[in-house]
Amino acid sequence: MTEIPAASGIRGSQDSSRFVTWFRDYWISVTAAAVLAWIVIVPLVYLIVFSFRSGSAAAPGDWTIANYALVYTSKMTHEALANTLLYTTMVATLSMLIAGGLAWLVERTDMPYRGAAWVMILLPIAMPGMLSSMAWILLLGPRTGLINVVLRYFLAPFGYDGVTGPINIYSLEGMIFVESVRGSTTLFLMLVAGFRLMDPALEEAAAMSGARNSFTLRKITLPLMLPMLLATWMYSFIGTLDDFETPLLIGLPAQIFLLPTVIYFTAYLSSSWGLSAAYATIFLLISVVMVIIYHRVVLRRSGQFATVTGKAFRPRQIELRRMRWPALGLVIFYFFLAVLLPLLILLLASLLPFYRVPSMEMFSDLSFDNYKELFSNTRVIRAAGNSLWVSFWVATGTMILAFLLAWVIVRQRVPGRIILDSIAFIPHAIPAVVVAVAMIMFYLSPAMHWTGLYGGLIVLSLALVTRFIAFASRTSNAAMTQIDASLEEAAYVSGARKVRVLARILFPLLLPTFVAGWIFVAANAFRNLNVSLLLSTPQNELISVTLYDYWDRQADFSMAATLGVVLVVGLALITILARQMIARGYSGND
Amino acid sequence: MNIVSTKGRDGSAQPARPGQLTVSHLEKAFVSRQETVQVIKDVSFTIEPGQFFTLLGPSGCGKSTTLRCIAGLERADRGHIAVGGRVLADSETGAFVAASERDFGMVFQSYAIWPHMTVAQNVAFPLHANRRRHKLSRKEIAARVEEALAMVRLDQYGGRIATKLSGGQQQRLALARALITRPELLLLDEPLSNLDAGLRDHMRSELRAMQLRTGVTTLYVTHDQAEAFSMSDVIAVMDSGTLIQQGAPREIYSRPATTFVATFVGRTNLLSVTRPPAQTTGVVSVETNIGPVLVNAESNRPIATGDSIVIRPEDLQITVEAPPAGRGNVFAGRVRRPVFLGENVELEIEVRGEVLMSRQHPRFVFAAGDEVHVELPVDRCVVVSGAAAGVGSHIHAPGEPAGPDKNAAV
Ligand SMILES: Nc1ncnc2c1ncn2[C@@H]1O[C@H](COP(=O)(O)OP(=O)(O)OP(=O)(O)O)[C@@H](O)[C@H]1O
Ligand SMILES: [Mg+2]
Repeated sequence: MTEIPAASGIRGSQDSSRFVTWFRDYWISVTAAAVLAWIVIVPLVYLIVFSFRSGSAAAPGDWTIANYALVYTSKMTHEALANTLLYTTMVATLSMLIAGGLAWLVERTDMPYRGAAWVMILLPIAMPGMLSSMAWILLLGPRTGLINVVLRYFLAPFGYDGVTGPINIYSLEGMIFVESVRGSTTLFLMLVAGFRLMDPALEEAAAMSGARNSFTLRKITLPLMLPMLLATWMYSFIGTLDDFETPLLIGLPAQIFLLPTVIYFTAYLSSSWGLSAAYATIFLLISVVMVIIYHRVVLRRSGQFATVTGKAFRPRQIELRRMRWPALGLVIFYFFLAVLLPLLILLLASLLPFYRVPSMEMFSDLSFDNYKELFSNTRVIRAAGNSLWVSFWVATGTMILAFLLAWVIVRQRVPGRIILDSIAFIPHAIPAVVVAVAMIMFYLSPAMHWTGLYGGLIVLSLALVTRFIAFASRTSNAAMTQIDASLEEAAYVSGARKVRVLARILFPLLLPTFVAGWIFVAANAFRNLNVSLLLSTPQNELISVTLYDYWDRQADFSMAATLGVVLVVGLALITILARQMIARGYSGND
Repeated sequence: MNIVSTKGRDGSAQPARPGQLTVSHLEKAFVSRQETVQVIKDVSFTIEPGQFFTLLGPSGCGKSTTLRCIAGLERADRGHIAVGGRVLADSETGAFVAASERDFGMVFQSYAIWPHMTVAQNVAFPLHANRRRHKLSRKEIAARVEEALAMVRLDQYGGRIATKLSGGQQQRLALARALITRPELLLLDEPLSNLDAGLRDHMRSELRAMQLRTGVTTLYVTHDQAEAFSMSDVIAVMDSGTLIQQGAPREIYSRPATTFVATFVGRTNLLSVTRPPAQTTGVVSVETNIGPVLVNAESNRPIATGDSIVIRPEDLQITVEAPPAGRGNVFAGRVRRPVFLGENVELEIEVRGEVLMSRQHPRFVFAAGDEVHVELPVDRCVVVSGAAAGVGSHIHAPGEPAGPDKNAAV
């Protein structure tokens, strides 16, 4: 019998040589695991430990449970919990209703211009949350909001004489509205996929049984989709729980606290680090529980009624008859709310020297001066450079780590690879604010402070890698599973070592996934506000932070809008370009 | 029972009878961004009440689309569909009855058993879905469900979640659901193709027995000739959207109208006609690529160059000794490759450079290279339109009536 190389450790008689051979076989796995543990486990453990201490992040004091006592008794906690629950529930429900309606119209009816409708529904993806919040503040701000100004003008004859209102965006309702409209896009994609998973014959059989459309919808389509709808709702719920930008931009000025903003507020604005850590730990727990329920219970059942058939054709379309054009009208209205109106108001604001109550006279002031100023502003240019640097390295690092992890998890027979898989999954359940707070505390702590890494681009980048590793790891695992192990084994048999097999066989095969994932991570890192704002210092300011600074601290709405417009246009262009590149790459392959 | 003979139909102005389906000049194209595909081209046929009628054809020839037009799941571009005198679709008047209003039973290839319902709920659905038409009390519904489940021997399983049934049971459940409203017409789209071979044979006879018992007019779609032969009263062979030939199973097999039909419904030998015969009636001698062959000339269509002579492998008479002189259609040949299959022996016999397939009783023992005599019995040789080379890629000339006389216009 020939000896299997992986078992070659048996050959060494002394412990040290045994270790050397073991390391030679497993060093890639070990390194990947170590990096993962360093960016995921260590900061989290430190966060939890720190929540039991007094003092500041740089100089932790005694052990205590005072932080939790304070959390428990504070009125703010109860308010924040109630707000968070209401906000997430409402947003999940509303965006699912919107997305479900849109998906149904596009997938199952004979609404005209369905192709164009697709584009209109998907475009909001290019709109960062921060910008849509800003745009809606400009539209619905109680005093200067454009829509309010117009409404006041028309309501005046009916006796409305307030100088504010009638609509106030600075309310929980306002936040729910903004986030529901924006959050529908991802859900739309999930629901469309769900519709497509269903065997159209199930509905056709109902029609053949004499059931009319509405009866079929109630008795067949909806019950069949129910598990999937539940999964989508829960997905939205978890995503909204993590959402930081709307609570920050609209909630904070209105003194409406949600859990993420409470953590931000206690850490930054009142420097109560231990308290913030306690809040973060609680938030983490809630989030983890939700994610576990989602994956263990909801997601498992979501496919229970899905029956994929080999049918390549669209199922029968429901005839809307007189409702065809009104249906398209609804889609256009959604597009108007989600993209067009916000973009137009930002564009308008960017052309004004300073933002004020809209009036007819302001049209004489329109100019491109803001854009000129923006492109010559050294702070903006430096921040843009930082953002590019960070996006590039975060995307590269995340994808390489994910690729190696996928290889270990899917292919290697290393003990503990299941644990590795779970660890890679944890960031999926950590809210962005918690990642940021944990990173700050860890790198400010006496143990790490000497490295001088805090406040630089590196810690920021590490935090962002943590943020995106779950997504990247899932995608890579899925892609790796698709590749037949024999392709790799053929290379081993030809005498190649592991590194060579990785570089010459697996990497080229997985390149399309790698590129697609890279672009996704880069784009999201570029527009990230939550992690980057919390970890920002004057040295590592990213462009999103500059934008927020214009808006919040300098209250220069016009410059913020200008930068926002440039960002949206840039991101949209890059996304379209990347899509096309990927599409071409794929079609070139087959 | 009311099995209607395929003979003696004249399809002319008889008043429509309940359960009689007429389809005339059906056309359907699918339009996509790149192209328009004409999937059904002027298809007409009539199914008599109580008949088991099968649409047989290769994959993609438009069988399902035809069935779905009749079901009301697709809208035909042109044509007229009526059942028992009730007009369901007519492109001229624009009349169209929705699928839910047609009151047909249908069994889908995937069965389409609703996974969120129990077996009994699945069967009861058609009764609930249309209370207007079937005015039944809860008690009556329960009784009907029980009766339907008993009919397919699923009465033990009423409370079970439907997806927990085996493939054959799901199949029977789908059938019970399709029949519970006692529809005028039962539509079946390859209902057996998802079952394994043994179960398929069993379900075949069960399905046919059920159809005979209920007497429901049935339209069955399949690409499997064995299914078609074993169950049908009438088979209509379809290719690329056109009905080629229609007739009783035996007729389709032994008197195919074209080379396509001949090759699609079983293995066959094709001999190309190289020169037409001098006479047009009686037994005539036709020049082919293996020499002159005697055939019975049919009166309705003259034999032309480019036609083919069809003879089934089991009809060839193989003898070692020369048959008595005076018998026609005897050729000398050499055995190329005998293949023993247990139930029979298959021989490839070389005759003047052509290879003929023969199927013989297994008691015959031949070796490669044996010199034999091959007789092609005159009454077994059938002249069909279409060249032998067109096997598998049969081209049906546009405008030409599909098949001689059988595809009677309605
Ligand atoms: N909804 C559709 N859109 C576009 N093309 C279609 C559609 N449905 C069917 N076709 C095309 O029409 C042709 C006939 O399809 P049909 O399903 O009727 O074939 P079939 O005879 O039932 O084949 P099979 O035995 O494979 O089921 C095929 O070429 C198919 O590609
Ligand atoms: Mg079909």
